[in-house]
Parts: sequence; C-alpha cells; structure tokens
Amino acid sequence: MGIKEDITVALYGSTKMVLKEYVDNITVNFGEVTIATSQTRPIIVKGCASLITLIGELKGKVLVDLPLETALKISSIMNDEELTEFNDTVSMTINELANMIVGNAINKLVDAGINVDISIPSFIFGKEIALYSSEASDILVVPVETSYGNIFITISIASK
Amino acid sequence: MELIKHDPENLFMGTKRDGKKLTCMVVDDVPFMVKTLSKLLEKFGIEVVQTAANGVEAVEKYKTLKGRLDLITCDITMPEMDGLQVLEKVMQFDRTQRVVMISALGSKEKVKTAMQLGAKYFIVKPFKAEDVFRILSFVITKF
Repeated sequence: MGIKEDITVALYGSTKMVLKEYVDNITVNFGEVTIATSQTRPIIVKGCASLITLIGELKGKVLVDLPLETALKISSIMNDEELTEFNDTVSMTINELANMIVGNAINKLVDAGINVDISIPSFIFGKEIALYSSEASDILVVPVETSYGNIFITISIASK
Repeated sequence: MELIKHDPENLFMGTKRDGKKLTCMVVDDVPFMVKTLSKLLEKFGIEVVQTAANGVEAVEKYKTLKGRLDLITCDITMPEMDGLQVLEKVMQFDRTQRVVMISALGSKEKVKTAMQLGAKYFIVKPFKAEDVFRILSFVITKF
C-alpha cells in the first residue's frame, strides 16, 4: 500500500473508533469514495467543517465536514445538552472530533515510521464554501453514513 | 500519599488518610472533554476542584492551588499556551506534582517529550474509562 492508501485506511478505522466511543448508540457505515485529481477542483464545505493540515512526509489536508443538522445532533450527544443552534460549543466539539479522528489516524502512520504531524484544527462554518488548493492534489471524499446523518471526510494529499 | 481504599471492581480510588477526597484540576479547552473527564474522575472518587480552558488560565489557577492538588490532567493542544508549556511551568513550581497529559496525538516523540518535561503519564484520546482508571491508579500509587 502507498502512503495515500495508508492514511485513508487509518482514517476509516479512527473515524469508527472515535464516533463509537463518544456518540452513544451511533451506527457507522462508509459510503462509496469519490476520487478526483485536479489542481482547480475545490473542496466544497457542507456546513460545519474542521480543517486539519498534514505536515511532514505526507503533505495535505483533511476536512471533516458535517451538515449543520448533523453537527447539532452529534454535538448535543457529546455535550449531554440539547444544542439547537450553532455556537462555540458546536465548533469546539466538531474541531475536537476531527482532531481525534485525524490524530489517531496519524498515530498509526507515525508508529509505522512515517514522519507526519498535524496542525491545530481550523473551523469553517457556512454552506457551499469552496476551498481551493494552490498545489496539485488527489482528493478523496469519504461519506460516513451515521444514524445521526452523514459526515464527509475529504482527504487532499499533495501529488508530490 | 497513602491510599486507604482501592477497589478496581467499583472503579473507586478512594480517599487520603485524612479522609478527604483526592483532588484534581482538569485542563482542556473543549467543554465536552472537561465534562467527560470530570464525570469519570468523580466516578473514581476524585474531586474536580478546578477546571481551566487554556494554558494561561491553568497556570494562574495552579498558582493559587499548588500544594493542594493531588493530580492535574492536561490537554496538549490548547489556545494561548499549550499543555507542554503548562507542564513546564508547573514543574518549575513542583517537580513532584502529578500531571497526566492527554492528547489525540500519541506519537512516541510526543510522549517522550512530555515525560522528559515531567509528566507522570500520557493518555491518548479517545480513551476508555477503564484505561483512565488504570493509568490514574498507577500514577497516584507510584508517584
């Protein structure tokens, strides 16, 4: 397996583990992955997204993106309080969720001898926001189908 | 410190010889993580006497509590001042203070750095209750 496949597989495992650990009664299934290779194709944000940059041997970005409704449901469960509108608690919860998902995937790569680190998550709130990368990259979108709505994990790995 | 009760079956760490509960400060910028950890610690019989949402706040609160805290759990990735900087500052006041670092990033390098700075253990998120219990039990008994 190449490094891009390694991170994708690691993200599958960590996503399932983190969601099962912190979101009671959640079911998690993975939908069909879409792949694109383009310098100009943007990543489209669907609602509440946490963006984490990969630094080191593996350069790229991971976006953990949830429609607002899903973000509110999941944040409510994780915080043990009903959250009906977007606020700081929601953004911090989704950032932490992304941090744990990507962090755990990275731990597996580091343990396998790959020199990679991650940035602090940046939060993006809004619909249909287009994120363009300045470098050529392969983009994979992994739909995570949960009992509280879909989560979209976009992995953008620099081609060189 | 000697513990007089230690019952892993009931996830109860117990009290000190003076009858008081073990005390802890939870340092994390994410509210749900503070809640989750606080609930776990209370379940273990540890009283969460203070919380801090960033490194600067943690150090300020530590100054007023030093000598009275049995344990600190400290996240690494935080705004203002990160957990490793908090650890360094706390160690300047008291090398024996039990500080357990918590992070989603658990690479050997990160763990090594934290331990060299004086952390007593390192917990990788997401954590399971029984793992936290086992680690805190070890830290409280050994240090």
